[in-house]
Amino acid sequence: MKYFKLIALFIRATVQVQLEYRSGTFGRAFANVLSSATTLLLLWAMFQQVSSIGGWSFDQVLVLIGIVTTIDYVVEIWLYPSLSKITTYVQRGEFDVLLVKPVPSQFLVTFRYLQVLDVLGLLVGLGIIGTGMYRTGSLEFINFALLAVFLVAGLVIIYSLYLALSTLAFWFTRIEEVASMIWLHSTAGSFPVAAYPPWARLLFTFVLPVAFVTNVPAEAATGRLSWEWGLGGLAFATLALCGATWLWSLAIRNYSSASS
Amino acid sequence: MPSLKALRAMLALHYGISLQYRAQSVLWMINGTVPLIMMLIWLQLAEDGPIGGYDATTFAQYFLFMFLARQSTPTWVIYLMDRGVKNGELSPHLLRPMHPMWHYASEHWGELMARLPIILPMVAIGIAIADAWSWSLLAHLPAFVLGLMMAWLINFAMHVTVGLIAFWSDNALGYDTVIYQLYIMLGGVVVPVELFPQTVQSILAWTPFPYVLDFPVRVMIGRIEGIDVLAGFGIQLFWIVALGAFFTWGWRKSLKRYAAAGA
Repeated sequence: MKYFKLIALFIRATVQVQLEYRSGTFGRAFANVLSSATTLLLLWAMFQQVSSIGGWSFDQVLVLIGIVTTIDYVVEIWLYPSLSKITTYVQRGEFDVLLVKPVPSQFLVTFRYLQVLDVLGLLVGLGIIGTGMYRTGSLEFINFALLAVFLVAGLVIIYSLYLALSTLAFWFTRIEEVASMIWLHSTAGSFPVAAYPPWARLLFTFVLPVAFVTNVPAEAATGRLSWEWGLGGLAFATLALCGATWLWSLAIRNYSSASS
Repeated sequence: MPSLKALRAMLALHYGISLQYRAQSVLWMINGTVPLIMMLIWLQLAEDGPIGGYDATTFAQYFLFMFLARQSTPTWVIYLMDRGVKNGELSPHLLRPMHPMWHYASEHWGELMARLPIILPMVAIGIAIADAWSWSLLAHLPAFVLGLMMAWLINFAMHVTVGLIAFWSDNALGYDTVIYQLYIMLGGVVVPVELFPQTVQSILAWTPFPYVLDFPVRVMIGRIEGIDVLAGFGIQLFWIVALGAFFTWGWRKSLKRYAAAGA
């Protein structure tokens, strides 16, 4: 309960800051919509030339693009604002202040900045998923339920990777750029993994796991998910979360303050 | 216009700074790998035969040189302008006997000098792996380099013009995303411009976007030849002059609003 209250408090504080820079909200919304529009234009242009990509039809890839868009915005309004601060905390020695707070530090760095004012992009993403599901005739309860489960699993994987990469800041102080690798998921993940050559499929399944982050939810939404991939996705998410949490606790234990 | 000596000093300074953060430059490049990812996709698609006149070799060449073009032309000048206006970092640059843009531009060139020695071998390796080398490429090299330099100027002019928003609003960075998206998406990084539907192509021809990335790349792989190359250079020149003039006009107007926060 205490944690929910804290999250509500964090949201309020972040929204207050955001309201200070209101014109930014509009500019970002405009950029988001434009970016989705150009992505769809390019997808359409590609399908003028070919009839399927990696065995997926236009409408199936549409669902995939919707998933990527949705995850992108969750990263943009939640993960990036919160987790990108880790390197700053460490560099400036502000991390000590977090450690003395009576809540786990991982909770603090995870939820501190939730820019809920930028939800418009999220709606665009969900809208694209809905359109794709409608056009493939897969608007069924079971598909929605599976989509929700695997979308969350995908987000857990992205969160874990981002946290783990940012945690490296404790050892290598200039790490921001490594963490920005996380954005690669939105490029590589915009296509079915089956559309890549075999060696890249392995890379995108196990190293940069866009297969689990974007492909599996899209398959779930269109009722094409095999149970092997489903189980694999859940297992990967669990392992990633445990691994990242372990790395974080290891970093905290070895942390020697930068300021004092 | 700064003296050559001043320019050399600034280049050396920024080159030094970039080398120091070599590790970062490498990772920054990872984010510029979109053309390589797209190459993988198109190569798979082209396995069943050429698409719109592009066979596997053409796709490999197009996207490898697109990677090079993309890595040679990026700009973060809107970020610099935004910071300059917000923190007052622009003030000292205004006192110098040259336009502040020279400072920003030389930062980009210094960084490019540090980046190219990594990028060029990557392109060479890519061409070797994809077996996409042909001696005719060598003949197109001078035109490609010239096209890239002009492309750099167009892109820089486009961005500094948008960057003027920093003087009028606290959200210039939001528009940085917009112009970046257009530069990437409409420039051919994902789908070669020639493979766009005809209507889209004819609309794009009226914008500067195809002349930043797609035009030099197509010249390099020999899909634009003869008089059309010259015409392309002409249009590139037009955009440089037009955007440059518009920027100069806007800069005078905007600078009057500059109130040097923190200076």
